[in-house]
Amino acid sequence: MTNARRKRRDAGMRRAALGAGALAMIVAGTGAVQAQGAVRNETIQTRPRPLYDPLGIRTGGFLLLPSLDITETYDSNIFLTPSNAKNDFITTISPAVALRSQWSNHALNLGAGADINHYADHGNEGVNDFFVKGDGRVDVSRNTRLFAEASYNGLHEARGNPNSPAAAVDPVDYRLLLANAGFAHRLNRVEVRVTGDLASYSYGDAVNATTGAAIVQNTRDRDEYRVTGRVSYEIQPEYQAFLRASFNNRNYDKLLGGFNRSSDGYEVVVGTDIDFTGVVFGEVFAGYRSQDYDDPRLSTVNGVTAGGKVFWNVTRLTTITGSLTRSVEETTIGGASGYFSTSGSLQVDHELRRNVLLDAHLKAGVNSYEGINRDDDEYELGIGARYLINRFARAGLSYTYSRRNSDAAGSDYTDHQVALTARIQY
Amino acid sequence: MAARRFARRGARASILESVSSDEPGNVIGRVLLLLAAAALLLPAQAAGPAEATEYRLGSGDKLRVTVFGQEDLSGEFLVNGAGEVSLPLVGNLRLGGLTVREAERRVVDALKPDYLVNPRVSIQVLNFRPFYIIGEVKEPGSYPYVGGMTVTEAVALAGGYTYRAKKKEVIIIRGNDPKRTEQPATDTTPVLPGDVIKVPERFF
Repeated sequence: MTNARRKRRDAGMRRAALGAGALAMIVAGTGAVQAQGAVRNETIQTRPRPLYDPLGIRTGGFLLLPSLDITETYDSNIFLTPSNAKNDFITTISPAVALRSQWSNHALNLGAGADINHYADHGNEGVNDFFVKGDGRVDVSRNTRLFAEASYNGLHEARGNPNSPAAAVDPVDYRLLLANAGFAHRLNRVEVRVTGDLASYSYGDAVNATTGAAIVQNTRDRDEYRVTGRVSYEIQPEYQAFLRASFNNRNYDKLLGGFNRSSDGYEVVVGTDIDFTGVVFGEVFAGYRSQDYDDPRLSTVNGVTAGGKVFWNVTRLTTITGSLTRSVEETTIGGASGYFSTSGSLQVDHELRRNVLLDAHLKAGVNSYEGINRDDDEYELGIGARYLINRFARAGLSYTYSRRNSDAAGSDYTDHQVALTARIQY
Repeated sequence: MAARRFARRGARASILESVSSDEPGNVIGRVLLLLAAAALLLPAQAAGPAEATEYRLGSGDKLRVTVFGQEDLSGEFLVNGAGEVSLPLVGNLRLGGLTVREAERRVVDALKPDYLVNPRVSIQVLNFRPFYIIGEVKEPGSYPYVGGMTVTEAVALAGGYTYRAKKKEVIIIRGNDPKRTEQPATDTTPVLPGDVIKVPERFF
């Protein structure tokens, strides 16, 4: 080979090497080598899984998603008693159907479902729940939207709820009508949101297990109304500060245990939405709330409130969710006006494989009763795994440990639950 | 004997031609020139793989064989599935598994005694075999080899890692390895034509 030919060959190889080097620099320069394909504000729970998400049935502009869950639970303490715990196996069948609109503007979603519970040894505990719901959104313009939601639920109170009569032969069941409507309008950096809520509770009478006498529960019936206004200002893309104020009125038709439990109250909080490149995002707020009762014997429940929910995508495979809520809840315990419920939780979700999801959570909460000397500390620890078999089936296994320490005698409990779920969907 | 040895090294023969084989005492001079020739050739090889593995021809490579002064014997040839190249006059030559230097020498040896007195052969690889990349990349498949590429460039060609890729434990199987042993690879491991790169899935 001559010198000239060798030089040409060397130059050619050097050009090829430069080309490959330039390609590498372009790839590194975008800074997106690690974040390829990342969707903002996506968590392990919300990540779409095209191979494992149900297809649904397309009808018109809607997607119909039917599903059937069958769960077998072992519960070590079904009555949540401090001693002499009764355990049982519970079979739950939950059919559900959801209808979701697939329009580019506006939205309308409907859903219905039920939980049919059967206890192996304690038949009376097997109550059935159901729900029917719908929600809609009208996109009036790019900056304005109207939304509304309504649901009618048939639910039951868990045994061990201090407001539920312990002597009842069946768990107390009640109907809950929820409705809300509102609008949101955005103008440059400011967004204004106004919402009205209604919650209407209607309790069914219980029967005393030993005497057979009726335990009247309809005195607990109430309507709760609330109006909320929220103004937020986008300081920077990462922070949206907001001020939220709400006024509520809880109206009981009848006296409950001789008390007129109707009340009204307010909550004022300031907070911020945070969004750091979709890795850490959420909302935190703090403020003050107060609930004042019509009956002069019931003292006002008020105090500092704080709350929020923050998601942290530690890696693309792990999400940590932290949340805190504080609210004033109703009670039936004589002399107590209500209770301040504070609960915080920490949950870790991990995507072991594309179709195997692991989760662990820890919850801790305090229910402080106003007017009586009672504080209930509640803890819950759970781990679980979900296996997405394919588009049509998935399975899950979970273990939950819950515990309550209460000032009131006979209200402590420890409970273990192991649940195995299978889901069929289309 | 020294003169015959020098004449067989086709590529380096031009430099050493000036060295007279009639001076048997000038061994040191010849060795120095040999080292100089080797030094001149090293930069050319550095543009290829940085490690000691020099590229070996394999099935699917497209070669341009040029025999100086012989238009009929030169041309573009494809290495077939058995690693053979079908050259005019000399017929099928087994060049698979040889480096480019060794292939040139083999063609010279095939032409030398019977057809040409002092053939000058140069072989240039026009199109390399593709390399293959599978596992946790956006678009697994086979891609054309680009000279001097490393694992990072190979993954970039394949669309980049998916979010589940185990970037620190990438495996490479060398195309010219008959045992198909899996070797660990890092971002800067050079890729050769015919290699298979496997990107495993991570669990945590």
